[in-house]
Amino acid sequence: MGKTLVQKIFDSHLKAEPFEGTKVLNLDVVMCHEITTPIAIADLEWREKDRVFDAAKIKVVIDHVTPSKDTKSAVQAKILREWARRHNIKDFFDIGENGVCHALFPEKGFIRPGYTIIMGDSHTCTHGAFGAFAAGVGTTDLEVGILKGVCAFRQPNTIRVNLTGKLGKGVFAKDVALEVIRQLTVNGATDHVIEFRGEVIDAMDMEQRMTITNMAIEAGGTSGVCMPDEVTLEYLWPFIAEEYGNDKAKALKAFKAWWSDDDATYAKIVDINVSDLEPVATVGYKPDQVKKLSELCDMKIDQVYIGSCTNGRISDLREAAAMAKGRKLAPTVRGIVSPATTEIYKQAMQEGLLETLMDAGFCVTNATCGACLGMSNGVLAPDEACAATTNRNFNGRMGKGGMVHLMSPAAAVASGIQGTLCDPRTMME
Amino acid sequence: MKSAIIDQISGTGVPVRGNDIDTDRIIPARFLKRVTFDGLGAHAFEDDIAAVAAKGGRHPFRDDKYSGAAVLVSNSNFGCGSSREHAPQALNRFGIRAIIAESYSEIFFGNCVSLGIPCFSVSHDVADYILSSIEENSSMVLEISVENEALKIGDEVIAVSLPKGAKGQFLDGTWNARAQLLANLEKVRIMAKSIPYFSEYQSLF
Repeated sequence: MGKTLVQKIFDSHLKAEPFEGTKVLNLDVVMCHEITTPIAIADLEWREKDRVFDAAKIKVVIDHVTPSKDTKSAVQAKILREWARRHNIKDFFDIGENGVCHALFPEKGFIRPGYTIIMGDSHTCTHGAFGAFAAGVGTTDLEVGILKGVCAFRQPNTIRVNLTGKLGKGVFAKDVALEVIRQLTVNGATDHVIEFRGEVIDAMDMEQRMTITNMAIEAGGTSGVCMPDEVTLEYLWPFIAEEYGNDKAKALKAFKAWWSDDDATYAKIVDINVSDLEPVATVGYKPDQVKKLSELCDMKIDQVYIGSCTNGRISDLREAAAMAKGRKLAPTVRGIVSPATTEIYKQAMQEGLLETLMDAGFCVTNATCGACLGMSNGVLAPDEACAATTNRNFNGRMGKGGMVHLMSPAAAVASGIQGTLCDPRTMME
Repeated sequence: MKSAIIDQISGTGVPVRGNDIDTDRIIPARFLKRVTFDGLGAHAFEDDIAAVAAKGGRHPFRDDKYSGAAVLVSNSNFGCGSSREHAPQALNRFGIRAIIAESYSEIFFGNCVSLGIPCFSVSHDVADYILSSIEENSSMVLEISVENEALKIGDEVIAVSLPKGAKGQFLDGTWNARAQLLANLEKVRIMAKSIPYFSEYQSLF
């Protein structure tokens, strides 16, 4: 019987199985940010266990509220910063070089096919785009991971989603992600990994794949995974060339060893042809409440937000700028763009994307993701609505009483220009 | 070090009806700036409570008839969304010792195991029956056995289910990974006083 990619990772990282179905895995990377880690750090100190299992395997960033906006967030940052210094954690990213964790850590080359990764953040599933098993956990599990380098999981089964066809005009990775969630529903993948396969994924770059795996959790998925291929290899090559003696064929062979076997068993197989997809957005407070934008053109918005671990990468900013070029935001709409990392910010500046967006009326913030969960830089007032490239539209998520409509960067910018939700195709050549 | 064995849980219930109750609703993100879980119990469901009150209603978490409840009952996909452990911590500090629902998000479920809160699953009809029973008689005691995967309400015994792994951990006292790995509890209080974040800044939180 063949194995899935995730079964192979579980088998190769298994440390113990204390109870049937509970598997303790060795971890390759433990990621930390300033929201969920300080409580773990404080607890380790209390227990006189202020140690880390391996400083080289711990990656740390201040990203949710940065620069700190008040005393509480400053204390969180300070605890994390001092802890990273105290333990000589080299991969620590603070103001001037930081970025949204799930954009920054891939950009730095920290992810490899076959890795096991945890973080106190549910969108850790993003890193599965590299063929890794990456899962969000709570603070207690994170604390154990920091100290011992292990984490216990229930071994998930896999749902395979085959994506075939060709994306039409104005339809992007985000639309595909939302369509998958619409079909699976918000808990359709609970306790399962979603394996994204097919010609649509094959044709996508790593940024698009990350947009899709990022939202696996919105269908309840433990993680989303893609098979590591030539695209993965090219993305990682600057970081791994030496390790493989500059031999790409050798690296690719090693990558493909992680692929799910042809006769692997899946809990479910879902086939989706994307050729007929139209640009979509969410309405309501659940990410599976997805509708065609062409049917939503009368819904007013007050804010556009371009950013987050879903859609704040350079290709997203290019897509946003292409739509904004030569246009202006409606006078009733505020536009915010938060490049997901400092490097993306610089790149966008060099390419003139930020200037284009600013000319259209956008404000550009530093790299941070606070707006997505209403913590900083773009909180909504009650009864306001935002066209957002983020991943969650829960009630009050971006501010008490606010409504978040999830969509692609092109659709969000088009909506900002129109002042209402807008099908981006109406503004494309 | 092993923790206490968790088998029998009894107490009154609190009905929180609805599917897909996410962790942002259980504890809004503004409470994530704390560096301790202390005091979160008072803020569980805070925005939902306000929203219900604004419409002239009363949320079960602010309804006197459910005060002192130990068992939260809900519908499907409870605790979805953000991985924040603040959510089960807030419920635990409110007094919740067990949850019965149709289903749970995986991360929330795992966090609850770490905190010693068994999350039992039941069918939609059974969840609805328990919810209605509590709403009709809020002083009714729910007696739950982890070992038998059974809920006793009144004279009735209802089957509730728990995955094998979690059940084993509760019954042999290995549910608290942190306690097992980090045993040193007796020094916690003394140490807490000497850490600046908790002495200098404590008043801020």
